Amino acid sequence: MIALFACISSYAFPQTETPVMVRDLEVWSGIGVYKNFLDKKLELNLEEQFRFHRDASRIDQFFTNFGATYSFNKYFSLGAGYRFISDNDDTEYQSKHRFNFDAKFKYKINRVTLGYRFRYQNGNNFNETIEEDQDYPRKAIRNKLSIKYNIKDVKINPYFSTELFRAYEKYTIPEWDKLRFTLGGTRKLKNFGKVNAFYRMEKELNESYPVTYNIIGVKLQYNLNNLINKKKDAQD
Amino acid sequence: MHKINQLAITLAIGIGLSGCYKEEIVVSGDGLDDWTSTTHSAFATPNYDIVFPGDAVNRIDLVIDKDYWEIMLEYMEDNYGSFGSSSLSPQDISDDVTPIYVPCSFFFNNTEWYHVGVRFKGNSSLASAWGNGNMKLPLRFDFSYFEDEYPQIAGQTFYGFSELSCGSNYNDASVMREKVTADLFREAGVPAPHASYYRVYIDHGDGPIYFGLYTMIEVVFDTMLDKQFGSSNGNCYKPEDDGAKFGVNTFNTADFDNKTGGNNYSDVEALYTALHSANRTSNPTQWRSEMEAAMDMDGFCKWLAVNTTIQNWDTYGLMPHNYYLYTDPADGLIKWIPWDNNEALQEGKMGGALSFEFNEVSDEWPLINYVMSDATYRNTFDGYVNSVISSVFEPSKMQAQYQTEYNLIAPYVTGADGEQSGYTYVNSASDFNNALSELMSHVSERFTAADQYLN
Repeated sequence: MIALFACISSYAFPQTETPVMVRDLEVWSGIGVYKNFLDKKLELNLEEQFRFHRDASRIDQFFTNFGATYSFNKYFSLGAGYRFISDNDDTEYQSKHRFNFDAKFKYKINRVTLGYRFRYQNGNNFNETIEEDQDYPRKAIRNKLSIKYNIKDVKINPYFSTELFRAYEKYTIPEWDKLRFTLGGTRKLKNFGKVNAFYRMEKELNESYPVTYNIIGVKLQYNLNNLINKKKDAQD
Repeated sequence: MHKINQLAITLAIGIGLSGCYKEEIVVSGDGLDDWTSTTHSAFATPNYDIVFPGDAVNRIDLVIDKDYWEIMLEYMEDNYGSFGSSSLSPQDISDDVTPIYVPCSFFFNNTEWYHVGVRFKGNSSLASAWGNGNMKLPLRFDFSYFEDEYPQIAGQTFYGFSELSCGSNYNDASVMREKVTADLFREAGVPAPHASYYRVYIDHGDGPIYFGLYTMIEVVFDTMLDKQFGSSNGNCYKPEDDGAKFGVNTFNTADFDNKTGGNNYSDVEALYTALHSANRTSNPTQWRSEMEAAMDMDGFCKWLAVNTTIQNWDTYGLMPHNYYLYTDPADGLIKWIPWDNNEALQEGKMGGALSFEFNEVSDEWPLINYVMSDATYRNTFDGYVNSVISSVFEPSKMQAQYQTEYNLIAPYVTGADGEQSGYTYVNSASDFNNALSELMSHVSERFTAADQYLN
């Protein structure tokens, strides 16, 4: 009877139903190298990262990221980065690029390190002109607060961070568009580099149906200084 | 360390189980108080009586967020120059420039339509009005444009209309040319969109401002095709620029924007091939047969007869735009649909509207030059001219109609509730009255001119 009523209703009062994604599980995996120069004041890094979405079943994007950070002292550093992105829009990969500038502050109290990062980023599709699709460069200002704890006699250093994004694009109203919370841990690997694993919850803001992304990430980074040290040892 | 590993594994399993992909089904109208199936939904039957009344002036109120309004103006400044001091003509504006949509609250009869996309639109009526500092700019509405951002408005319509074009009656001191001409075409049997008068109020942060009396026009590829052809799955082109002339050296399918999708231009290419066939001079009977296999030639002759009799210079013959072509699946023939008639019912610009003889029309416009050089088609054309001046454009009938239209709109054009300085193309009450007198005289003059031509 209920099924019959539902069937009749759908004919009498047809309605538009739209499936809207409200949650997803993503996996971000990256591998990279880094090297320090100038008494460890300058660090250069190169990373390749793959991001999977839709319950980590499909590639969302992969990119190559080059970054540089210069530390002026133990409190303050400046950084810059460039990212070349292949973005999967379900029909084809679109080439995009993005650059960013960072200002970082950190303050250490015993085993606790407090940090703040201000990031300006600017990105756009690589091969499309504004005239073709009225797609203007997307800019964002990001504010990130973090706390890291060095637990005595434990090799993993846990951290927690939160980051708020404010998006800017020509002919749109600037808005706070997403918020991230990250809980993770880093571990130094002897004669290799470091590994960073995290869980991140990212929530869209100012949307009528905001999406929550649950992200599991792992990044493995090799310290090129190890390679040089090994060569030196071999020569000695 | 062992405990940390256990914690990490437990956390990962927990996230995997509870954080996986999830969709919600959003039913259009959810949480929207005024939404009903007959007024807002995608399944609403287009209600012509309410949206396009023949004997009433509707009022709409738009509420546009101040920030969005400034974005609309910023886009105009960037692409059309400074408001009130730009000398850019439509030819100076890139074809890629289309003013951007912003969301607005759209009110009609105390009912709200939600997050409706609104933008400025037009060629001369936009560029020239902007440059001259006139804020009575033509508008375009798309009722579900922002459905990706607001899925609760998916498929939203205004009484069954998904999109509407809102003409500003640019350069028309009578304010009635757009509406009357669309009515005339349909009355004569030429497929044409419906049109009606609308008072438009916009609140962009400082309270409602009367932007003037507009003419709301049905969008051809939204509802008109279904209404008048019983289908909307044929190719529907809006030709623009030189390709739209169908000339030997100018024809270019890139100038035929297909509003119903697809990129198979075989229909207009077939028309071009037939039009320029050598049979035109060597075997006219065969040529007509080829033309009639591609296009509704009787309909074209009818349109040309109405268009020439009433005088409408801003279209094919003088300007390569302001018409649609629809390939009707019912018979496979291209049908001619007139568009944008605010410059009709007058001698006009560009040397004036075309004469009945068309001697001034070169082979740059072959659809007139070639077709009207053919005795059979000329005979059909003459028959329709005779029909037009004795029925739909008969002077006493039209003069009564002009007076009725005037009486209907006069309170919203001049006087206390009339248009305001900076939001009008009517300089004064006498300007409005003179425009009516000109229309009255014009129809008589055209009757005489047509009569002289036919006899």
